[in-house]
Amino acid sequence: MMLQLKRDQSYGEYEVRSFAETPFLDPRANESEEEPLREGPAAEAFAADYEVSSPFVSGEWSETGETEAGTPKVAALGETAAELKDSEFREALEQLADEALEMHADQLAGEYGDRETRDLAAERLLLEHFEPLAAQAEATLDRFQETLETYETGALTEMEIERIAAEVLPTNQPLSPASEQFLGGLLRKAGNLIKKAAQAPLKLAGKGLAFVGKLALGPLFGPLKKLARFLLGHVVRFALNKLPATLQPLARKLSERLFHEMADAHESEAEQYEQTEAEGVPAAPDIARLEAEFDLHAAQLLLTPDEAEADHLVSAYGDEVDRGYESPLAALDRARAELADGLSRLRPGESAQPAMEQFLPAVAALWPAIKAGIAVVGRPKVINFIGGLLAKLVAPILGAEPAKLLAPALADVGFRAVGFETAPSNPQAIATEALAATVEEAAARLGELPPHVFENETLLDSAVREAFEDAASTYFPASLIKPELRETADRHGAWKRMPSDGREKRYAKYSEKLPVTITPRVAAGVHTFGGATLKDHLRDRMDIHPDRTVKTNVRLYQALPGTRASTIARAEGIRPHDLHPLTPHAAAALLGPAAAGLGRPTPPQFLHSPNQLHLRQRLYHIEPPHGRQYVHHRRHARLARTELLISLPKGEIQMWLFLSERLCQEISAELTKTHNAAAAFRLIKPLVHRAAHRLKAAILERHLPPDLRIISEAPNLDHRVPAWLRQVAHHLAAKVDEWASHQIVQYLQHNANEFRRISADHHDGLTLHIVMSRIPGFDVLQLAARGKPPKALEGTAWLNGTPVFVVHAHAGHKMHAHAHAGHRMHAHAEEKMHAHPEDKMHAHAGRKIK
Amino acid sequence: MSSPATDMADRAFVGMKRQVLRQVNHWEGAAERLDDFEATAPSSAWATLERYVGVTLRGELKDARDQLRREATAVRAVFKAARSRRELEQVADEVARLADRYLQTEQLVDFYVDAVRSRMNPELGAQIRACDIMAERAVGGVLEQLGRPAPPILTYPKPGRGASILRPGTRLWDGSLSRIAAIKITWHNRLQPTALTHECGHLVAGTVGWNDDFAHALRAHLSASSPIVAEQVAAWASEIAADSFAFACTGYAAVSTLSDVVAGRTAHVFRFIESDVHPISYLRVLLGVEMCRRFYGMGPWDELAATWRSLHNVAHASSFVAGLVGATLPLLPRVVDLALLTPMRCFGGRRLSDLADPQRVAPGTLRLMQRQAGGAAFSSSHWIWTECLRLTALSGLRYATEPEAGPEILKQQEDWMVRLGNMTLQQAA
Repeated sequence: MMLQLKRDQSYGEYEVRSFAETPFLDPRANESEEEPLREGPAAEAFAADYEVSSPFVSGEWSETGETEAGTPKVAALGETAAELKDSEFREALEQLADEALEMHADQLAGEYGDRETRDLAAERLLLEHFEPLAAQAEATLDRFQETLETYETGALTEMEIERIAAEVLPTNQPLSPASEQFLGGLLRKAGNLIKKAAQAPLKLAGKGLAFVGKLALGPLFGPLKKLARFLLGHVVRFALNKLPATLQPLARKLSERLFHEMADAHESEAEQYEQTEAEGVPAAPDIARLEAEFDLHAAQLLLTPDEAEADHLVSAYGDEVDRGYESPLAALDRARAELADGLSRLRPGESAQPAMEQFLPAVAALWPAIKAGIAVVGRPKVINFIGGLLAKLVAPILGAEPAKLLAPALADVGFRAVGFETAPSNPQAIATEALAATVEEAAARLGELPPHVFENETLLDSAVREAFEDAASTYFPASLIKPELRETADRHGAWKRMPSDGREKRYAKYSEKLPVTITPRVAAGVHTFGGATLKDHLRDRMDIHPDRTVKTNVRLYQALPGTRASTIARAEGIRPHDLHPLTPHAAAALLGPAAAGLGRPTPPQFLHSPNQLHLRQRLYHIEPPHGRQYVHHRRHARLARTELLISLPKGEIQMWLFLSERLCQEISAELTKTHNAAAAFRLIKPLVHRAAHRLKAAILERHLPPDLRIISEAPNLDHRVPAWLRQVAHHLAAKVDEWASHQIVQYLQHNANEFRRISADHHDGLTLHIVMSRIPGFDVLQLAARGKPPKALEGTAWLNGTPVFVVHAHAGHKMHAHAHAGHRMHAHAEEKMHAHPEDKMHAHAGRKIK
Repeated sequence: MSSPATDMADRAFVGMKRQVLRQVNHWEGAAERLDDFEATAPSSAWATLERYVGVTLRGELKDARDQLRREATAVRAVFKAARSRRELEQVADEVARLADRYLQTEQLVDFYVDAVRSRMNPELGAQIRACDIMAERAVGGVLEQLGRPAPPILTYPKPGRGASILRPGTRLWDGSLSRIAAIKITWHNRLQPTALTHECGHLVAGTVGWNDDFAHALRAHLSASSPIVAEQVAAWASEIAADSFAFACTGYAAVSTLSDVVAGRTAHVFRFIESDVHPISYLRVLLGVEMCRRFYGMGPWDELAATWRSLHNVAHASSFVAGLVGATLPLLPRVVDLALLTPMRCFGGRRLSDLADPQRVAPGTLRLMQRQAGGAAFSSSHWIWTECLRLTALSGLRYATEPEAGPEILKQQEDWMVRLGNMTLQQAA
């Protein structure tokens, strides 16, 4: 492919039609006719002639199907890593980071010294902050190890391990909730590893983990303690935004030996992914990645043949903490300041291209690795081209004169309300900031484009213009934007990057707060993160009765490079989980069709959690209803949620339904009032549907959502959606929905009293755990996963029948509870009931529906 | 060359200057060190305040201290400029004023810091925090419907018989206006916080102007019977309004708890003080009973009224009080109507019972809630969080009607109040 750029018209020519090419209305249209048009001196051409033979690496990446199972070791690794995944642990990591930032906000906000010194000081401060927790983690793991080693291997049942974990958890320490959750999660992970070890003591004997009927756990716990300490180091880097937002595949974190084993058996894991359409660019690193890396290293400990390799593995994990990696964010902060400075210093008629070219590489560094590669190879040309085009697009509104024309409109939209105080005295500063924001956002958006766009001049030209138009309609008030490009028809606000003073812009905020009326039907129809609806949020977090129509205001925010929900929350005095995705659908439903443009289409992978946003993602926050300016907020009010685990090797499907406290009390009241399971089931049904829908919708995504885990024989470290699932997801989801619905109805019919008893427990909420085994059609699925799909897969006949099932109810949020179907599990459950009075009940084991 | 007289004058001037300087240093230093005083409440106690209460309170204290410092700086400037004995004497006056201002500010800081310090014990802190939440619910629940923001509320425990409130906008010791509502709850009644809702009634009434509207209505509607009695009842309007609010929030519990607090020797029950805004205790309890009868019909309050009357015979009251009581008793049903069932301008033309419906805390409704919630009523965070006021009403009802189970009921109330308080607890910085 040739990239040919032609010399454009001179500045003089371009001036005449400049506004026609930009998204801006010509401000001169409003001036008196007597005022002469500003004459622009001829400017130098914006782009040089290029004739470049294919500057881009030809993309020949392809995702191979999962045709073969990995070697036993790699398969075991994949399975163990998948089983270690723990949403509460992930949540704890996020909260630990937030807690630390919150607690040391004053020290971290200091402006003394240069950037590097400040960064080092901040890192040291947070490492010291986590030191007591790291020590506590080591001590807790020590206690766990000591107790476990007194047991005969055969006596270490799943229940017993969980009981010991609960026993060794420190109870008399002044720990924050997040720290407690972290230690609890760490013990669960250690317990899971022990379970694996206990299941195969003979194989493990060779690794020194088993010793005459007992486990000798030193070789496992020693490295595990180090991993836990390093993990907290990673949390510090995460908190300080020092981790890259886009990362290489997880397989790269495997030890060399395992990596080669896996690459031999399963090429796709080591492969790059080919992007064929526009995709969101992560705004900040995902906490799930920290957990996944930790899990992978922990799981490898079971497979390392000797101590030396384990040491190497651990130190490799720790080295990443020490390695001085400069986040592109720091470079962007510097470049941003230089751009603003460069734009404000331009003399009349001078081109902004040099300033653009200097700035663009800092944004390009945020693009996903695949495009960064392109930018490196063809950087001078691509940057020149984009820089030239952007310079052309901004030219009409550069300089003192246009700034004077823009300033009143910009000031009008209430910039002072969001902290911009320079309106009257320095119109050029306002205009320059709006322009710099526009340029940065347009450039950032280019990172979403598929690589092929960069290979074609016309496509790139068109993409840059479109990106610029969108960005300009974001940062300039509607009155300055052509009608067809305006985000809203009836609102007069504009977006402002925050904090307004300082170069480290961390999010954008809409200048107006918008009135909304949320009827129960709207609340039920608007989705927020994790598949929940606004109805769930209003009920569980805002204590608003589901029948009530809420009249209040919403505030709008937008993600910039480095934005996490907690960044906005800290600055705005709200809670991260009170932010919701402002999709066009949500915007239209809440703000009316004329404001749908304020919403931003958001790819499904950025709708799972507010902890992972994409650049330019829009969010909203619902203020408490009018008059309730001062309200107490509950700590940790969890929304109702679901998780689904499909394990092909075990032939098992597990579904967890967490019923929030309020929901479970409503269900309990229904069971009391009507003695009728139908009314109670109506309240649970949306959750069952949600779990099934997640399975169905997974085929549209690259990676599995966090609440859907699939374990197959082939390792799937990056949680890609397996090829076989794409074929069967639709039918399987319908069946899972059907089976689970029947099972829950039957459970409610026979166990209403127990449900009420568990609801009365002091734990918040209740978790229904459904384990299905002997599932019809699983043999077919196993074949499909091995790349040998039988013809039977075409219809749904292969799924006919009903599985054996067990339903457990646990008090509280127990999404990590494990269980096995069948009699063995039944026996364990009885046993556990004695050990843990708060662990509810065992509904009915192995009951088959006729 | 100077004369001996001049020398003496100079020496006296220098001596006086030294003395005044010492005093300036003392009070200026004291003003500077007021920060340390604030720090006598540990951060863990400050952290038990809801964020907006803490921020507002710290802001208020900081402003008071800053104002004092500015005044100290001004006095020092005057001192530096003093060149004559007369000017020094003026400075000495200024220093005396500064000392007074310091003591006023210190009293302000002491008041609030003491309130915060009372939360140091985690259990007690959680109970007080639960009171914060209940107060916010009671006040916010009504003001929200009127489109009025509820102010930040800080509750604190103190010894004594009755609760009290320092409303926002009250002029404080140092002359500044308070920005938060500070409600004193009593030690003996902290597990039966119906008095809290009475104080919340004062807050609501003061915010929307209910006291004036209500007094006006009492005068207008009772004058036909007796202008003198109408005038007297109108003088009690603010307390009757607060009692009505407490009844609307917690039902019979408010009445029975009130009777426990005001009960005593007959002389005390019939005490009348002309300028006192509190009605005669004898009438106050019977007014509460009248509210119960008006909204709930017959019930345990009839027994309370009969006992109250038999324990406190009107014949033992002074003739004036006996006359006043005799003239007021027949008017109590009208007073109840005017307090709870009459549209008021300050309520946007609505009635108090529209804004806080006493039927929600009727004994039957409370028992139904208990049945529906089953064992979860006092253990589920949902019920505790959303229905804390009704649970207080239920506990109060049970405490009044099942005295044999009194200690268990109070223990249960204590347990769930601690849980409620801990639900919003932030981590100490």
